[in-house]
Amino acid sequence: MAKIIVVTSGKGGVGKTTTSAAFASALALKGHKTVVIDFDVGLRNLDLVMGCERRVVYDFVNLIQGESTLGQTLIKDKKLDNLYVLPASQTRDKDALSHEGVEKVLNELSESFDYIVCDSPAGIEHGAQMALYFAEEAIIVTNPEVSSVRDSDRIIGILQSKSRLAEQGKAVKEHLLLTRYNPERVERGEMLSVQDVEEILAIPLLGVIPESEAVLKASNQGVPVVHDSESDAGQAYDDAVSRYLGEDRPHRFLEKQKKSFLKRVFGG
Amino acid sequence: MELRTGMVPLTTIQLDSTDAEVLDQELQRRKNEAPALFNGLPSLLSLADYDEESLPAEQLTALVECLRQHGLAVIGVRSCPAHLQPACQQLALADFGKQSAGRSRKAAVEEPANNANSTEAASDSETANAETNEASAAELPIASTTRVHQGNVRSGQQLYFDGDLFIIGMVSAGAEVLATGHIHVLGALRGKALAGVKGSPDATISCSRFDAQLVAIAGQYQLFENEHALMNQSVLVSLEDDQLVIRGAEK
Repeated sequence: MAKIIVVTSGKGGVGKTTTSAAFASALALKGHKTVVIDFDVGLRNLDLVMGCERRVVYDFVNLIQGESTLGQTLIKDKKLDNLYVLPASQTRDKDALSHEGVEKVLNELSESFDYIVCDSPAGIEHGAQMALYFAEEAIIVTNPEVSSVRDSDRIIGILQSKSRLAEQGKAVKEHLLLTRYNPERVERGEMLSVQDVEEILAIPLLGVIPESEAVLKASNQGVPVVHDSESDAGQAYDDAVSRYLGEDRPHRFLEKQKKSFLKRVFGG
Repeated sequence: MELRTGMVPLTTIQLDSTDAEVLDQELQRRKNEAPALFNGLPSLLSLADYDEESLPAEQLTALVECLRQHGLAVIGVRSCPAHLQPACQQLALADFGKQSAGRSRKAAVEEPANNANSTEAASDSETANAETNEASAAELPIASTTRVHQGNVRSGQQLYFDGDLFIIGMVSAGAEVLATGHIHVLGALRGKALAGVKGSPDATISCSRFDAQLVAIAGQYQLFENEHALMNQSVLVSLEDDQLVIRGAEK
């Protein structure tokens, strides 16, 4: 039986798709058979970030409506043998995601995968609710700014009232992932600190991903940022996934980087 | 299938007027105060003191339809007189038997020290005592006056209770908690808290970390646009001479 994880945030543009791609890739890198599903029907871009846009033939909606089989629809990752992408439809509407249809597909995937990562669309409408309904665990992607934190709080409320587990009187396990963190701006008081966000949201912190040029580069190249093991963001995602899998790793990238002697002398 | 018995809170509606239009206006007014107040709220309609003249069957139908239109889930009646029984059946309303302590609830909030202060409440409890034997099933307390909510109330969520509300957790910014009685928050209060929403000036609000967006008691409210002097401290909010007073709980 696979574990179903939703990557959600409420607010748009905080890094859900980047996180879904990085998280799924890191799980696969660590030997777990993983599938990542794009729930953003109509505005798909997980396939772009995963670098498989040109290999999409069938999509999630085709699969739900029985127009294709799982084997035809799943796209195998070009780098990792045990990672698959289930792309969203570009031409349909979010309402095409029916409750029964999504459940059927998830059940089918559950039989052969270890992890199912659901990339939620922004907002709290139908698409986002479908993405989180079946989740057992949730990664709440939050930026260190007030509106993002507020929206995350809202989505946690929805997880606690409208998910399947909540309906059964159980709880979805929540993880806070703080992205686009910039310690310098925190120090200048322009950004909320990790402590501020933790205090407002009151859920366990899974990781802090620093604001990094590597993320944009990775998205544009269609290579999830965890493959860039030199980059700070890549390492931070790797840490987060290791922590998710139970490893004890200290949080990094929380402090301002001290400039090295050479940098101070020559600038940079 | 499994049959279980249990106690669940229900709200009892005591009408001041049998005029559907008056009721409609009253419900609209309350809804303006608390928009989600009636959303699917399971409730009973008290029909004590009505006879064929003061409340004919067709009038009851109009009243129940009005309540349901405003989102209340009217599921039954209490103290149903004989002439209204067929109408109740037609409206799919269960008969919850004779009325008991339920009616003095409002008085209990307003006069916490003296339950039977008003003549109305006194006569009511007398009737209840007289009826104890014949309606013992109905004497079970179907509503508790304190609700303990364990867990955080998140942004966008609203919690309403007819009685005292005890929250073990925080109330996030953008969340709203409302009670007809007191509100206690064992945690941070960052959202809105409205106590005594049915007009009880004795209601209070207390919390262990004060950072509210708004507090209100019996309709008197205060907004906190700027940081309050007692920010992040434990406070007690009460109403004194129609003025909201916020005190540090330690003093």
